[in-house]
Amino acid sequence: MDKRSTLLTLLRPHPLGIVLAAGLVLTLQEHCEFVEVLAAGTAYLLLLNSAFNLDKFSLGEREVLTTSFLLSFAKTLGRTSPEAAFLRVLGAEKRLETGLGGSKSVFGSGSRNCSKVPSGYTVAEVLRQIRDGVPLTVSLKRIRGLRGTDALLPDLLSDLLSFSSEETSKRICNYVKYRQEKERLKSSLSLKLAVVSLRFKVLTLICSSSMAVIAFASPIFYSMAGLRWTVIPLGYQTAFSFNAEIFLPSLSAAVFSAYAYSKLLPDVSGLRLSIASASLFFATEVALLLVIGWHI
Amino acid sequence: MMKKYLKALAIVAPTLSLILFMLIRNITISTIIIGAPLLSIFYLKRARNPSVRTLLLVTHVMELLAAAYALSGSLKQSISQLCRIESPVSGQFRSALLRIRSGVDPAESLKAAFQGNPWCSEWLESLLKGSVSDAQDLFSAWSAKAEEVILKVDDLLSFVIVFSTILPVIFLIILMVSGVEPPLIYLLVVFQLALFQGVYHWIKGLLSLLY
Repeated sequence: MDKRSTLLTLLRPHPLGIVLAAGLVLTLQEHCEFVEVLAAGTAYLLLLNSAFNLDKFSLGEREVLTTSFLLSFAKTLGRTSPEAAFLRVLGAEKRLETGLGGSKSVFGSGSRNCSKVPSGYTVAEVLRQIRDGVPLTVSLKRIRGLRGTDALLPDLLSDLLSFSSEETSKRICNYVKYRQEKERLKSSLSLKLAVVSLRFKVLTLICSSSMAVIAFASPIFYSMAGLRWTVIPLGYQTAFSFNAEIFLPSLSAAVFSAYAYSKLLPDVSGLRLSIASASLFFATEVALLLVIGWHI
Repeated sequence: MMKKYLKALAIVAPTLSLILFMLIRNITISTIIIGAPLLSIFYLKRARNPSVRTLLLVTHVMELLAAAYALSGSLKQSISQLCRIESPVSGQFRSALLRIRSGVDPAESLKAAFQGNPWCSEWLESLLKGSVSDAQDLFSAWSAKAEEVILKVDDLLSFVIVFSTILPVIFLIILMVSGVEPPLIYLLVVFQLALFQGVYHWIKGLLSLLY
């Protein structure tokens, strides 16, 4: 991402940011001049955008060459030439995919969870090179742009294939063991993240509801500071009525917390959680207004 | 460099104008509420949390070595391949390769390359003392370290989640009891925002380790 697009990402108005900034403008308009409201609203919107436009943590990319492909390739290598083995395994994988519904690919593309497959590295391209008579060792060397430890695969496989097919087969099996170990660790982390996600959802909703209770009971808290929002001079009826000046900032704080921190957890939908959080806030506030207002 | 500068500017400029606006209204409360998270973030950045960072880098080096060794079967070739891929430790691998080319033993050159980083040289010392005969040795060492990272990530995330949900409630009560006027309750969101910006990059670095 270049510097221009980075800046644009930060400045791009986020729908939730606009809603929350509108809340600030509504709250401030009675207290400040137009210019001050505008300045504070814009600054607040930019701040919110900088947080809301951050990338959500995702479950990462799928391997470019799948484990099943590597294993089948390693098994077939000993019996035939590398090119023939590659084509045969690719054919078998394709048939299997077609049978399974064709959503998976040897090269990790086509799946919903899989993000970007590096440009210039497609099944068609490798196949075309092999069919044009380019040896597999050469076509593998041309592959660029892979990420993580997979970036090691093309060059090392090519070197190994030029040396010995048997050794390549052995080494691929070793690499698959590494992949399996990594998968085990990933699932262990995923399990822990799922528990944390659930904890986060529950705590966010509790926090939202508590904020609504505090916003409703604000006259009591303000009476401790001896300010004009005290209960006694206003009377219970007036003090415990709906107060947008306190309601909006508290709601903003609850929604911000729900949306922003959900970016750290892969299984949590920020939008859904912030809507649930806002709804619970409203529901709590309305329930308290009805029940306590009726009793007073 | 420019990218970082622009990003910082895009965040700092509106923050400053908002803080300025808030300060005019209620200087003491604003200073305390905005200053506290900023100071804590500054402290976190300055300390760079060596234990987590150490753990992260060691695990990263271990993973790279384990994967490369599994494929190549030789330390020399692994190091030569690891120089070509982008990682925070590519420089160290390059210096190890230079030593190998001048005739130093691969294991020794690897240890020498990571000499300045006690976190890594200690692990390499124990692992390369003639015990690396199979990729499995590297896998076991890496796997054990990665398990440690996962536990650390779990602890940190739990802490952050509890912090992010309970702290706003406490702060809202403090603001009200202190007699802060309602529009200034928005400082609570600014406080959360500052805290979130600090925590996000830190946690994301840890989470991306295994994905």
